[in-house]
Amino acid sequence: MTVHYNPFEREFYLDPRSVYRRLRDEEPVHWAQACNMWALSRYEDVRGALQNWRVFSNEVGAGSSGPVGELFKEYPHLLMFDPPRHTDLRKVLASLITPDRMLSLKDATHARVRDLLNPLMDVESFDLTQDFAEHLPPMIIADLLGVPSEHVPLLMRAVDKLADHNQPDIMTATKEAIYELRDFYVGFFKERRKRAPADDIVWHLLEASDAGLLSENETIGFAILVTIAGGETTTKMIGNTAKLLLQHPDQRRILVEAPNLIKSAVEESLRYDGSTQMLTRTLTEDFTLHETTMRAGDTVALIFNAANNDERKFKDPDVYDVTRNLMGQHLAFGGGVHACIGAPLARLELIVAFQELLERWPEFGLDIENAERHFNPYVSGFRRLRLTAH
Amino acid sequence: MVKVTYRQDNGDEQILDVREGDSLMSGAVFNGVAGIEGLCGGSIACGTCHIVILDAWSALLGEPGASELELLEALGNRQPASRLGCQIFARPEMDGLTVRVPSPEA
Repeated sequence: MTVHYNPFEREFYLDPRSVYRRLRDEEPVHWAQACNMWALSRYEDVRGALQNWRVFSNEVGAGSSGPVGELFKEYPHLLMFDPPRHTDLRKVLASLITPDRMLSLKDATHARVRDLLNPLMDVESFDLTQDFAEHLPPMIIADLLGVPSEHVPLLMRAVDKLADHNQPDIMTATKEAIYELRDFYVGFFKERRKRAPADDIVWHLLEASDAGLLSENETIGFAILVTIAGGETTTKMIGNTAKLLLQHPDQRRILVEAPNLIKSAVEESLRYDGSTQMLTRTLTEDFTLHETTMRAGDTVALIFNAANNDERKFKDPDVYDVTRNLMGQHLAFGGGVHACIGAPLARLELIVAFQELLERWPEFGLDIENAERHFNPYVSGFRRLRLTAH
Repeated sequence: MVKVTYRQDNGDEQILDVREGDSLMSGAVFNGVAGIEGLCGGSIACGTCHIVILDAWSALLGEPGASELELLEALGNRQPASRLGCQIFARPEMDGLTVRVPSPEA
């Protein structure tokens, strides 16, 4: 029986790992009829596609999905270009989010996490997502952007509006959200120019714009991308990691006893159950893989979460092992020229979050049964997830 | 443009024009140099842009930073002159640079 893969459907989230296994084993080049796209699931094939940016393009097909797509095209961003234009755009920000720079953010990140977690120590239970994970990444990205904290709720609401597919009219909601973010940034840029130069992302974007490296609309698009990417994905990853630690208490105990392994546990969690489960490309030419020919112009889903659990690459992929030596080989941050530019920041936030969480609640419990999942074909995680001390 | 030669262990060479300000990884990936992938996009997480600098050039290129050093130490095929291509950005003074692309670890 042909495999059924549809990340737009709720039912898919009951057991995605089984679907992924069947895809890898039976239909490594799968035509997802319901989504009008191909789906690649084997590690080697997904990694190869990520490397092959000329054929698996971001620019071709960018902004082509109807009125909302057109709006995205009006405020274009990194994920909508191929090299060499992409290379120039990425350079504007790449030097601001390096691992060495993240070292300097460590103390500030710990402070933010403590501010959020300390008040929660007095309550019997709290929501890991609503009371913590939803707030941390937007606060940190706002700090990096140079956006004052008081604007964070507005940004968070807009991001949620376009990310939550559990709404009656996603197209309208997405359009409204992009306009809200656009209006915010147009106003904020004016205000930012009046203040002194500083090492924040918005200042660097404005400098690049003034130097003719970015158009005004590209500047806005870039700020919007950073706002969305800086929040959504890391938030969901906190919940996914907590769930894995709960389900593997022996592994959690290792981390409580050896917190220096939290760094490695974050990598294994990304591999096992990354929050960005899939992203798409458009083919610039016909491409044949496993005796199946995909046509130029076709959309291809690269399923990172399937590739990351491929036993052809990772020994015993269904074993959650916080000491696994991954050497950055997993594809949870994508890979190649479009590899997540925020990865060093995401890693920092996840490591610090779990250092502080495990210190306070080394044997935390989670109410998985009553948890509320997020609905978005690209992002996998929870919107509500109750945590108790035991 | 900065002329950079990428030399494979079997002697094959690719002489590329790398744009000023682009990393040696980025230049290699754009031109399809074998053995240089840049899986993590230049965030010092994967080691797939591993190159070896020829002696004459090491003084000009300076020393690796803390994060780069940490990753280099984890590479199985590390050599004294090993660097990550994603951390070296083409400058006019580097014109004529030659780097080796080491064979992958066994």
